[in-house]
Amino acid sequence: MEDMIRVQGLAKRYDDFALEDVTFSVPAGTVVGLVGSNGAGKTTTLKAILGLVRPDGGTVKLLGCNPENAKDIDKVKARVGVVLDTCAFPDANRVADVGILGRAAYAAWEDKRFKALCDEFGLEPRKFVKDLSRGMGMKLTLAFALSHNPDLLILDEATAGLDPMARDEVLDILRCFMEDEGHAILLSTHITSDLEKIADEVICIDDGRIVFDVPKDAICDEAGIAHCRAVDVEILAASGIANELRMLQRGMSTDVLVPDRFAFACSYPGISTDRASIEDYMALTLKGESLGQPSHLQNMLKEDQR
Amino acid sequence: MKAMVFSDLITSKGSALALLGITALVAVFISIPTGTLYGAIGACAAMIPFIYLFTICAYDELNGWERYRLTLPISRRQVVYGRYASMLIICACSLVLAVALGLAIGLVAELLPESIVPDGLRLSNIGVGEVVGTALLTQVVILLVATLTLPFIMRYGMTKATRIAPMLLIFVISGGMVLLSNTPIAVHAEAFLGGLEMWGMVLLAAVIVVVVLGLYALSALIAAHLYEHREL
Repeated sequence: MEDMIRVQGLAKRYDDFALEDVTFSVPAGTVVGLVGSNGAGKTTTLKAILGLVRPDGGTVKLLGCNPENAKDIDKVKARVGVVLDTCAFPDANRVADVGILGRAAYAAWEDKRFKALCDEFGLEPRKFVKDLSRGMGMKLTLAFALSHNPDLLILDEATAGLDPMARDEVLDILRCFMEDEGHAILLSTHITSDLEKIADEVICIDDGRIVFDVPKDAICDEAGIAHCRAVDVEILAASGIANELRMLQRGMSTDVLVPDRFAFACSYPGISTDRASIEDYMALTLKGESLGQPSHLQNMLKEDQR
Repeated sequence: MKAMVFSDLITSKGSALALLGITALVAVFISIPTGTLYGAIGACAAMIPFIYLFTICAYDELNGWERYRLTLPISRRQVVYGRYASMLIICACSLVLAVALGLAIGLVAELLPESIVPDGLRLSNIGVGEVVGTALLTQVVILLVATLTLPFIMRYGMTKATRIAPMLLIFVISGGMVLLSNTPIAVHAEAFLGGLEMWGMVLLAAVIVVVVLGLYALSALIAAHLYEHREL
């Protein structure tokens, strides 16, 4: 499948933060979710993809072109719909003005589609951008991003500020968008439950580096969280799979991330194992520690003895 | 570039009516105490593009608009050239409005009794040529202001540029005044201007406009180069 976005060894350094060796791709027909804590480097990555910042290293290909200096970047950007984390249109604009701007900017702009989306989202044409709530502002940006028939959507916190019903509406629209196999979405979000509903691949960035890049099904369908007592942890630590497992102390029990919960349940039927969410997977990967490290086990045993 | 010009003009249309009303009021209130049309014409010709320039540039930084704008099919060069073009359009509109307002006040003054209207407000005492000349000269000054400030605004953004641009303007204006006043250049220029006939003045005005437009275009090239390297 053709890669709509290809990021190879991307590096960007600021005084207090550095993005290092970020490599991933967004093939056509897939929804890729970008997760990570605040300041992890998600927005910097998106900015580099959109040509808003100049990378210090590595390459970025957006629909096959370098977004920084491609001669036909206009044509490339005409195929991309973008929603950033705020409604960026000038406050003095009305909703209808945003449609006029879209008509002037995009050759493939569909006025009917924009009006239909505005109707669907409850956006009144005469309303000023400054009078829209955050959620309504995000809906306006989404309507704008979808009204020029893009092939690729780049969304940065697009569902932030929306109520659960509106989020579901937006996810339905994104699902419709993905019915065309030539389309793709790169979606950066803190709302991991949205990714569970729509993503094919999940990439986690932390401190400027990719921590994991796995299919969503490997997290939600295969991985699991084992709730272990100290004695269970001891057994797992002594097992041959200890290096594959990550653990995190939570209250009285210890959560252990297991890559295959069905195989794990067969091997350890006495340990209660649940389905892992993306949030669990992230928490255990970012905050958790490897079960194979003896120092952690010793600490736990000491705690247990006390 | 079309999208950028559209964007700027759409954004400013909301405040256009209010701005026109304020300008008309200021023009009338300046012309009555000063007793001449020059103040009214100058106020109209200067206020609209001046306020437009700083308002539209301020909107760039609001809500991250200038960052989002670059995700549209508009290149950085087009953003800069579009901004310069929209400023030029507003200057041209202000020129027409200032001339129209000057003529309107002058004509109304003609209709009123001599005892209540100063001579300087009457069109018969000033002439259409002077009305146009005043508006044009004001536009030239405003375009020079834009020529000097826009590269800074495009490079650093409005917030940072407002710390640098006024200082630069004061330096240029005061430096120019010091250099020109009481020097042989000023004496020669005064003699030269005094000796010009009607067509000479028109030719001189045309030369000034062409030179200022040339500087404005050069400023656009510099601003585009600076904006290409700006990180948003």
